[in-house]
Amino acid sequence: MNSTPFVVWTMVGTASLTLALVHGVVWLLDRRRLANLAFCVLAVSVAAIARIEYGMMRAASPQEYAEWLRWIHGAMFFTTVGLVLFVHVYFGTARRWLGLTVVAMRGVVTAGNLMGSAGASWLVGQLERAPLLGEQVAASGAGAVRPLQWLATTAAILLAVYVLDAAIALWRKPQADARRTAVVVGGGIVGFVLVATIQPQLVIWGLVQMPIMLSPAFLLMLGVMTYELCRDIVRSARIKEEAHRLRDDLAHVARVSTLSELSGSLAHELNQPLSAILRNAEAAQLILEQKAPDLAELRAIMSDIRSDDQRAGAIIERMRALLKRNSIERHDVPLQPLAQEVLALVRTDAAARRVTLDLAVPEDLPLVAADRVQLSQVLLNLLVNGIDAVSESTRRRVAIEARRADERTIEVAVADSGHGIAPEIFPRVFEPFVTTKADGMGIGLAVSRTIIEAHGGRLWAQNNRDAGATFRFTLPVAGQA
Amino acid sequence: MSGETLIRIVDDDASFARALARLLGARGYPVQSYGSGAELLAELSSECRGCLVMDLNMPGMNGLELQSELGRRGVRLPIVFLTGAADIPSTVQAMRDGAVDFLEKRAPSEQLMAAVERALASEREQRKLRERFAALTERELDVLRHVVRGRMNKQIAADLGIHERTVKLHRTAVTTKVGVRSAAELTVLARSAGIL
Repeated sequence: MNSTPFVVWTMVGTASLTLALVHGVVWLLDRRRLANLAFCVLAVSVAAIARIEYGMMRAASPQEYAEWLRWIHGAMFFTTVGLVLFVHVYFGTARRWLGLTVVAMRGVVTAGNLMGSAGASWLVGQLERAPLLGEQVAASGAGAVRPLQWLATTAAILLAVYVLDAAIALWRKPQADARRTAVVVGGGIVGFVLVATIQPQLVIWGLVQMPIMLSPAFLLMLGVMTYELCRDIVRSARIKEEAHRLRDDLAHVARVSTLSELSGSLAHELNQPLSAILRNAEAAQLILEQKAPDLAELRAIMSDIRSDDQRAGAIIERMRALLKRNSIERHDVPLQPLAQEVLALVRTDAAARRVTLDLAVPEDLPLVAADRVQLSQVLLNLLVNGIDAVSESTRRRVAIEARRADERTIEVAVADSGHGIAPEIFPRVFEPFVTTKADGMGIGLAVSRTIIEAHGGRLWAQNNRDAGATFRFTLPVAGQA
Repeated sequence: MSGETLIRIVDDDASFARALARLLGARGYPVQSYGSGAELLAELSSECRGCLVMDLNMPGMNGLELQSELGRRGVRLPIVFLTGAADIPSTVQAMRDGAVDFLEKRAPSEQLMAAVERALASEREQRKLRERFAALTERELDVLRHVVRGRMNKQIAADLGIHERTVKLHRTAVTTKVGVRSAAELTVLARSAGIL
């Protein structure tokens, strides 16, 4: 029983089922991948065809042969549906009416074969023996071709036309990979459909004496399709990765450029503890030169020097954290102290330009789920923009406000009393490289929006009724899945 | 307390203010620290003596704003400004408004001491000068204001509605009391005493 045809047809069936399983799982995990669903249907039908073909080879009588033949029409219906759907979804250029016509024609052939008597489309003639892979298997001699068979053949040719038409339309599209997909997938499908049409046709007309062998050709077609589908999955993963990296790079550049704007403030911040340390050390030297040094005072000086040194260290640490290139690390972050820290960064700059900074964050505001550094980055961008916007105005005020928008959302607003956003630039403020600043790169807001969206929030702008603009963003409350 | 010569430190950074107070204290100066301009203004009057050492960058009222507010209130204490990094526009404004010195916070302590000494000396000088002018009567001050503008006795008499001879008498009284010989000298002194 373990003959070569048995092994080959079993392998074809198993391989098809395995592919069906894989693509079925892909579809289950991501229901939008309809191409994988179509593929799954197609592969199951190919497995069924393989089983039926083997049954036909082993048929002992024309009746048994004809019985199997009925079922092959049932399987072919699903092959057709799978192919039409696959091409429709995957190419996006197919003519729907043509596809539906093919399916309808196939449906009629199938119904005729399954519901009518055996041999509705083709009356099997004398059963003969034909050699296959070193074995004698059953093959039909010339029989009588019924009109339904012509319908089946027309459906098969129309299917090839349907695929060819969609492939040609795809070829004309400007997308990068359109031509490749059109040739490889379109050409592959058309080729195998034609082989699978011509081979049985030759058998039916009695021109060749051999068993009907659709499934090996179909399996090759499944192979080509699988290769393309997998390539797509890998490529979209790579694109996503690329986009991630690009976003991180951009965020890094934006951070560095904001920081270089703020370097004056940072130098000032560092200067405070360093100056205090210097003056304390000088005072200590003087006190030590006295006849009866005040030890209590010296102790106080030492402890001040220590804490100022730690203060300087903390500033450097914060700067380094801001400069570090990293991906999102979400923690439960209290907004109030974070906003304070960011305000400290711009305070000197704001004071020099006589801008008042206000902070209104309620004490009982819940923690937010966010990346500290990236959130600081967003607040910093919005604050620096706000300060720039008001520096020419008579009222110079920038305010950070936060409130709980609903159960799961915190809304933060950075409002300024400046000139507002000009209407011609308003629709594009979040686009990269759009800027109104003479020395700006125009990436601050673009990066901020990407960061907030990566946190599952939204960032938007509005002009205030009286003066200036308000930028608002939302963040998820910490501790929810 | 207003009569005592005092170095008043104004800085929002408590640690730095403390350190500076210690250093000046160890040098033997009486020192008082304030955390903000508002704190200083609350207990300052034109009677106060000494000098101010203040931070330029402070939240709320910054150094320059505090300086002009003091000017409005008639407090003429010399100011030594300290700053993290001095920028030209604020330096210019501070000096124009009469700051004695403009130092970086980490300037060598000799420079700082010299600046404080200069400030105290200039305040002493001014106080002495003002005492010389203090003896003048209201009317003599009126005449003085006209004189320093270079006006003739006849014009002054007409403006004030008095006799030209009376103007002459007032002028003599002024120069004698202040102890100067010429109108030019009088003008210079009056200006540096802040009478005008």
